[in-house]
Amino acid sequence: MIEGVGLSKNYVSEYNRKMLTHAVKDVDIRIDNGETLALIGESGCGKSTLGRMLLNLIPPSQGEVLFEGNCLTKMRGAELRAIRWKFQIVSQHPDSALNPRWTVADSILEPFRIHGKITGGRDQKQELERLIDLVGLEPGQAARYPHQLSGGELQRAVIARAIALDPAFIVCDEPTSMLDVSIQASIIRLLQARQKEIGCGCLFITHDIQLAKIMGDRIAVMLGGQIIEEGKRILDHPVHPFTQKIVSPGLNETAPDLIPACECSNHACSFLTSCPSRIPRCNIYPEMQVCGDRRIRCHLVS
Amino acid sequence: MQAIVIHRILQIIPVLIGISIITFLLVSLAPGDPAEISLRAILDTDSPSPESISLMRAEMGLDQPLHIRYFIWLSRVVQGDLGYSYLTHKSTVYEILYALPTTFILAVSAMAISIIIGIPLGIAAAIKQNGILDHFCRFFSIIGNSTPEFFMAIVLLLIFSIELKILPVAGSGGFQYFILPSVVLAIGLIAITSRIMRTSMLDVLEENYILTARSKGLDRKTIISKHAIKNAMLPVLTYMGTQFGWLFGGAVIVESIFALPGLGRLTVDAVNTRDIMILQGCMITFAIIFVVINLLVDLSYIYLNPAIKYEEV
Repeated sequence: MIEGVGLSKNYVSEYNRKMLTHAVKDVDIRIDNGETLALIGESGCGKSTLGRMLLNLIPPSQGEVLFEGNCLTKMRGAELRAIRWKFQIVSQHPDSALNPRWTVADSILEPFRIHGKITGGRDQKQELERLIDLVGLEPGQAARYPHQLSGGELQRAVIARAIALDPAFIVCDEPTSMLDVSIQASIIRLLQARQKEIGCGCLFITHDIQLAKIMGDRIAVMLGGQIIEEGKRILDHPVHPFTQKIVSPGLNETAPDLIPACECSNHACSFLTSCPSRIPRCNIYPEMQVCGDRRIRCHLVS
Repeated sequence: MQAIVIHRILQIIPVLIGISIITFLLVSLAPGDPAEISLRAILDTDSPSPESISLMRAEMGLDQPLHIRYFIWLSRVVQGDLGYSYLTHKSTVYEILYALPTTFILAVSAMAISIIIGIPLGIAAAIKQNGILDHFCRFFSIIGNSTPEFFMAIVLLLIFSIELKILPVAGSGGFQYFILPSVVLAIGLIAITSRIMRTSMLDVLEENYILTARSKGLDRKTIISKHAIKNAMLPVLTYMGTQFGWLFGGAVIVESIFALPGLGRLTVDAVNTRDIMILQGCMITFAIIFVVINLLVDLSYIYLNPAIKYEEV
C-alpha cells in the first residue's frame, strides 16, 4: 500500500521569488496492493506531478509519502535507492524512456545489475527471455536499439523494464496517449494482465474517461492541483459540477458567464470561475468531505 | 556499417572536385602569366626569354582552352605537383609539409586543452545548475569569448614571458614554445565547449530515461556517467569537429604573434608577397584537412549514435 498525506508541490519562479505556482495542493491519496486508482484530469492539473511525488522522483513541498509503513520522504541516498525497485514508472513518451545508446535488452536488464542483492543469482538471459515473452515482444527485438522499434513495441519494452523486479506499485502516466488507437487496447490488456499477476498497486493517469472507467477500481478526478472527487464508479454518477462537466461535455454550453480568474481569491474553489452552480460560499476553499461512497471537495454536498 | 563508411567517403569526392575548380580558377584569373612566374622561380631570373616563356606555356598547357587546362592542372596536382614558390624557389609541397607539423601540434594541443578543461567544466556546471561554478563558467565564457586572441596573447606574454620569465616570448624550438599559443587558442574554445556541454547535459538530464534510471535506484553519479554524458556529447563533438578544421587555418593571428612557422603564417606571407602557388597550395591543404576532419567526425557519430548505424543507405 502506498499513501500520500497532505501532498503539495509549489514551484518558485526563477526571476521573481514571490511568484509561486501551486502544481499540487494538499492531496491525500491511497492505493492498496493490487488496486488500480485511475487519476483523471485536464492537462496541467498536476496529475503527473502527483504521480512523480508518490515515486519520490520529485520531493514534495509539504506532506509525506508512506510506503509499507516507511516514510519515503524522510529516506535519503542509499536507503532510498535500495527500495526504489519496488515502485516504478511507465511514462507517456516511450520513445525517450529508454537510453538511445543502449539496446533494449541492456535497459531491461539494468535493474538486475543494480539490485544484485535482491535478484541473487538469477540468470539474466533467462530473465530477459521471460520478460520479453511476458510483454509480447519477439526475442530478436531485445537486441535492437530504441529507434528501431515502433511506439507500441517500445512501450512493451518500457513495461518489461518496469515489471522486471516485480514492483509493489507502478505509476502509469498516460501510457497509451502517444500510441495508435489500434495498439492502445493491446497495451491496456497487457498492463491489466501483468498487474493481476504481480498483484501490485497502480496509479493510472489518463485524460480519457472511458479508459479511466475500464482501468480504475477507484477513480479520482483532479482539478487545479487538487483531487475534487474520488470513489468507485463516480463517473457513472458524478456529483461535483466539474466531474459532471467532463462526463457530459455538452452541458458546458449552458454554463453561466465566467468570472475572470483575477477576481477570485487564492482560497477559492478551483472550479469557481466556470462552475454553473456556484454559490457565494465558493469563494472559500472547500474541504474534502466524505459523502456516501465518495470523497468530494464541494460546498454543494453539505 | 561498412557500406555507410564507404558512402560517406564517396560523398567527399564532389566536394573535393568543387574545391579544385575554385582553386584552379583563382590561379587562372589572377593577373600575371603563370608560365613566366614559374620560369622566374625555376631559372632564378627576373626576365626569362620570350622563347623559354612560350616553351613553358606549351609545357604547362597554357595554350589550351580552359577546361583542358583544368584537367592538365588537376592531373599534376593529383601527382603532388603544386608548382614552386617564386620567392623561395622551393616547391609548394615542400613549404607546406614544412609548415604542417607546427600547425598540427598547435591545433591538437589547443583542442586537447579545451577538451580536458571545457567538457568537465560544462558537466559540472550542468550538475550544479545556477551554483557557484555555473556562474563562474558563465562569467569565464563571456570573458573568454569576447576577448580577441591578439589581446589575450599579449596579456599572457606580458605575464608569463616578460614578468615571470618562465616561458619563451616567441619563435619555435621545443615544446615550451607551444604552451602560450595553444592556451590562447584553447581559451576561446573552452568558453564555447563548456557552454554547449552544459546546455546539452541539461537537455539530456530532462529526458525520460534519466527519470527511469532514477526510479531503477541508480545513484546520481552513475546516472550521469552511464546515461547522461555520452548522450550529451554529440553536439559538442559536432562543434569541436568544425573548430578543429578552423584551428588549422584560423590560427593565423596566433602564429604571427608567437612567430610560429605554421600554415597560417605561410598563408599570410603568401598573400602579402602575392606568392600565388603557395596560396593555391595552402587553400587546397586547408580544404582537404577540413573535409577529412568532417569525415572523421561523421564516422565517430556512427560509433557514438546507434541511430545512425543502421540507417538505410
